[in-house]
Amino acid sequence: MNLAWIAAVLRPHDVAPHPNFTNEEYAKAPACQLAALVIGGDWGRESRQSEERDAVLDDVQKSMQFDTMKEGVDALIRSALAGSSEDLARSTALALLACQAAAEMEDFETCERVLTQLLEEVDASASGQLCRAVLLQQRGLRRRDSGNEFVDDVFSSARILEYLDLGQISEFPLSPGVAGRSSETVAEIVYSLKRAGWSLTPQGYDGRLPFPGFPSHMERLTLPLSNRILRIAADRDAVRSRYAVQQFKNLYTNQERTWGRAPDDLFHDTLALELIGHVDVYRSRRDQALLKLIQHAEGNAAVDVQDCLRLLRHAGSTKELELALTRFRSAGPLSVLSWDARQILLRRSTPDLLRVPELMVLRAAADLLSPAEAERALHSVLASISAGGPPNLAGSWQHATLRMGTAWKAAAALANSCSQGDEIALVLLSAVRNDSSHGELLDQNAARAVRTLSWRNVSARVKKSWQEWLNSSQAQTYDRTADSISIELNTSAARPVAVFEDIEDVAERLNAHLMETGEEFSPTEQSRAIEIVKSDLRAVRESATQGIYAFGSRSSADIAAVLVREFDDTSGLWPELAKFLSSPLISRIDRDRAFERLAREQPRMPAPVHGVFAAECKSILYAKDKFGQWGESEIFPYPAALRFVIAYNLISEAEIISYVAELSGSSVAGAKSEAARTLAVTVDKPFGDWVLSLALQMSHESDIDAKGHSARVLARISTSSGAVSSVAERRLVSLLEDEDGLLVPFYVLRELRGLGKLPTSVVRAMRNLARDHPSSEVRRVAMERVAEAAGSANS
Amino acid sequence: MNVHAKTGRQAQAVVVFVHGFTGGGYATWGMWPRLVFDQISEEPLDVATYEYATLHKAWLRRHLGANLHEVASQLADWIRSLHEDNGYRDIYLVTHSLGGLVAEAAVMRYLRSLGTRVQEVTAVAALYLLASPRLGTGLALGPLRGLVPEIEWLRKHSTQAADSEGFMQEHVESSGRAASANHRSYLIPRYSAMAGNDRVVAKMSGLFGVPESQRLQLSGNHRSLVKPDELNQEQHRRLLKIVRSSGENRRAWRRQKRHESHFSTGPAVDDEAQSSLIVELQGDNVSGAIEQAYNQARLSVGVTEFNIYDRRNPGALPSQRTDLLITVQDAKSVVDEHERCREVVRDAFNAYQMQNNLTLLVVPIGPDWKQAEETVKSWLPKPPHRAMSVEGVATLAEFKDLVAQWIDVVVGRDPLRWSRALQRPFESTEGRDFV
Repeated sequence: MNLAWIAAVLRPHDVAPHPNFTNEEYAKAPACQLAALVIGGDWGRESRQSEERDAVLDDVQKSMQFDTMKEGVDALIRSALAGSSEDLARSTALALLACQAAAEMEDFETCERVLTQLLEEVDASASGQLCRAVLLQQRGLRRRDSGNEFVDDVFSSARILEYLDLGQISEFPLSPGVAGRSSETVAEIVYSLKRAGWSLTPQGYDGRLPFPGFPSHMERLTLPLSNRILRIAADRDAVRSRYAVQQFKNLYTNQERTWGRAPDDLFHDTLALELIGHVDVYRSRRDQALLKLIQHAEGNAAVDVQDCLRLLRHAGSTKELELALTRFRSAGPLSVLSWDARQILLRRSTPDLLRVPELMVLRAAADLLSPAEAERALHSVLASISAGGPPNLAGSWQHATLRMGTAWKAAAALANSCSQGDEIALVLLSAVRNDSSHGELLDQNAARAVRTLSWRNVSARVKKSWQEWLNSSQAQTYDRTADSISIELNTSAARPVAVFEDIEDVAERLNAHLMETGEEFSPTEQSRAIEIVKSDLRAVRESATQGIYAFGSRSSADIAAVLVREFDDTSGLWPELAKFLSSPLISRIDRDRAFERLAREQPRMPAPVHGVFAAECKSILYAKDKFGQWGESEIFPYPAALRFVIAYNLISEAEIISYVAELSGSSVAGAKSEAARTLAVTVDKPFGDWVLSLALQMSHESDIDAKGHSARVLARISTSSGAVSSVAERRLVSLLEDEDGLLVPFYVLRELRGLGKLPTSVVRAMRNLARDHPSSEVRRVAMERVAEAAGSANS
Repeated sequence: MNVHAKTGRQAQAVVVFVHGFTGGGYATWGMWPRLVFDQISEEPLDVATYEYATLHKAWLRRHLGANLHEVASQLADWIRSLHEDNGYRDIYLVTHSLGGLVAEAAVMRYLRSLGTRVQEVTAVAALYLLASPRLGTGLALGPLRGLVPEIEWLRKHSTQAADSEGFMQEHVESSGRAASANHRSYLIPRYSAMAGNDRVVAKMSGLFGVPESQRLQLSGNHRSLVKPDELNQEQHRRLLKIVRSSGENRRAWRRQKRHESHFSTGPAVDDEAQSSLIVELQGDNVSGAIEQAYNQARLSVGVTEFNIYDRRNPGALPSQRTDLLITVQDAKSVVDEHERCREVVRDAFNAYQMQNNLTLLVVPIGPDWKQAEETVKSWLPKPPHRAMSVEGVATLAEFKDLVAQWIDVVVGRDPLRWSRALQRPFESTEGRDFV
């Protein structure tokens, strides 16, 4: 048994041909060449270019590449299983490589089968036992990845390593660039395997340690790191360092150009941890994905993000995954989303494998799946819900209701894609009916799922059951769910608010009034509501003067904005609202929604109030947000207020140009998007061509929000009769045709609603979207717009 | 093959029925083809029945029994023809018993013939295997192999079935769950059905290799399984479900690909060995003049983006297969039906059958070329043979042109592998003075 093979995968620098100490004869050994491939970079390049090499190395290389992975894994498994009687160390090394690639493909059954079969063939020799420990450690990691019990394997491996007689292990040649003997290499491998085993041992196992010498949790923290882990950390640091240097050069000079340089990648560092089975592999998977995502966002076309979602799922990094999913949905590439969802559908659709990250991907990709796929996925998610919800990620805990909430939302999104809403609607109804804890968490999650579900796909029978629930006393306990279902069913609860006591009552009554079938306010109700809102506005203002701010409550300013729109006689509500909105002491959070609503709906403003705002304009736009702890508050001029003052003609065109330019040139995150959004408010104004110039420029921004809002502006200009509308039309068509992502088509299609006759090229682009876009939602909305356009043309 | 197409070319999908041992193009299926043709619950479907001779019919036809390799090759050519010549985007293969083995072999050949870097969704939309003995059947007894060659395919541990299954396992995603081949090369969902009283094919053999959720167990026996009647139409309903889900998945996949095509620059062919074209010249008596004309033809093809190697050139790696095999014959010897000529043609045809992406050109040369052409064709099975051609020429100059033309044809068949540089528009030097 040649243990150089084990060293090649677990301590490759000891056996890889050293770039500075060449020995041609030594370099021909397959194990040495394998080590070079595992290290990667310049070391791997030497090996890849070698003419004389074992065919199995081609398979290793294939297993490391996305397109040829399956072929490589199959070949490696064949070699590993066929050659186990000749050299178990070689088979072990190949099996490790095959398993890490199979795990990438989420083929955990293959991992289990291959590792178990090899474990049955291990002999009792010291070298054989070392192979056993390596295989067990690998199986432990793969079982952990697949959500199975793994600790027994980890402990068995540790036990073998503890009692392994290193003196019995035969020597093998080391690289000419390495001083020392192979026994030292083996000792290092044993220690790094021990540390890997400890790292996988859950914290709460101190009372269940496998043998007396196994360190407790605290002892494990104090023992030194293995040299292998330190080497991996150093290599990882080198990659980051190279990346930082490159970024520095990119930012500080426009002279230097590097051609043919591969993007910095953490693949080999992650691979090293995958092979040794260390828990750090989860962080490394995340880092590998994040580095790629950053490079991709920077516009590096050479970076392949195909595998990023899978890496984040396997890292258990749900927060980063959520952000990546949002980004991919908005800006593309959509193919990455649908590809990963399909991999989940094929490989992870059983309840034990369908965890929160997988459900997040299914939800995000739901409208990119075919109805047949969405139906399959829906059944898998419903099976998971029936089985008690998705399992916890290994090594972390999340409240069962939150996990269930993710499953509900995924099921609702998938139900929309396959037009089957009944089952999930009944699941949600049953959840709120049978919940004995009256949990707010359940209410929040059920409400989100209710809002996600498209209720046009729910039968009248199920809707009736929900209506019955809405009229029951239980609905009062679940106010968020009740609110959401009222809006979705366009109905209110049959429990009229008899007496208005607080702002919540006003909001509830107002929502009921805003329904299509809503009941009118009586004069008494109207005056009572106005009084309550005025008093609430005053109370918030007074609290603000004392530095007290409240979170998460209803926005009384927003309710006031609705009231001034709905009722002619608002008995002094406008002045109170003006004081509130122009006060620099009130946080932007409390004012945002009111400003946006007023800018959007523009209810008639009394002249004196107009005067108040006109006088306070500058101060409103530039006052520091007293409650500003988040990035948005750093944006000046205050974007929501700017849109408001533009909508009410409170500032001149010159001032508007200046403010929008300030926003669009700002380096604060989100400012560019706010500039484009603000530009959309100016479209209806009789302004010059500067709006088009700015919109055109911003439609080329890499910030997808800015691009989306500027596309809205272009949509409006393209339908106008102005001399420059054809310029806007051309850019709009190219945006509709060449944008990989959902945000731009959605924004544009929404903006085009009700605009009447549309340019032919825009209608053609919409027709293409309706036929060819991968998202069923985009196709549906585009179809509506096309029908609308045809209607306008006929009329 | 008989194709029943709806008037007005409504259908983009066709269901091809492939019968089994001793079966017939229509006799095997009863009213099923009619049910499929008339259905209106799913997208419009045309119907094709593929018939091949087995047992006594095969003996009557060629005195050697059935040659299933040839049958599979022919079916593969039909698949290609249905797709490329007749415009069917989705081809569903419904097979019975031995027909399943033939169809899988045909699909394997078809996929291999597509060349490199093809997309995962091909013309073959799904395989529906009814009572197909993919682990063999106990009734197929080895000693009868000499008399009934089909037994070689039907017996347990059949090499042919193992080859097809190995290919499918390695390269084809058989699950119908998703519109992705997921690290495999092709997406072709496989479904199977078995009858409860089947005494010919064991349940395990009939369901083997197909994902569990795609197996169907029905009442009836080996023959009635493929004959839905007025009351029992479960197998037909399953077929329509397959058409619906595969159709939806394939449409989703196509939309995705069309969408992606806006954002990608297309696959790069970077492997020099992979992108070279290998041509091989064979013949009973290849003269120096023929060789010279052949070499001139190779060199005359105006491509610089890849190499066109003769098989014997060291640039052609041993692992690379021949792409175009040219067999030359003296036309007079062919007309005289010299046994040696026949052998050479037969060997070339066998090589063509065994290697799926091989193009075969048989060229009788001489004044009698026209008659020789007919003679050679009479030695070969009936067409269609999409990758094979018999074309006689009178002179060596014509031979040279013919070879150059066929190299061009082969290159054109797989533009991804043998990509020619695009003709770039003239780029002006605007903004710069000439020096």
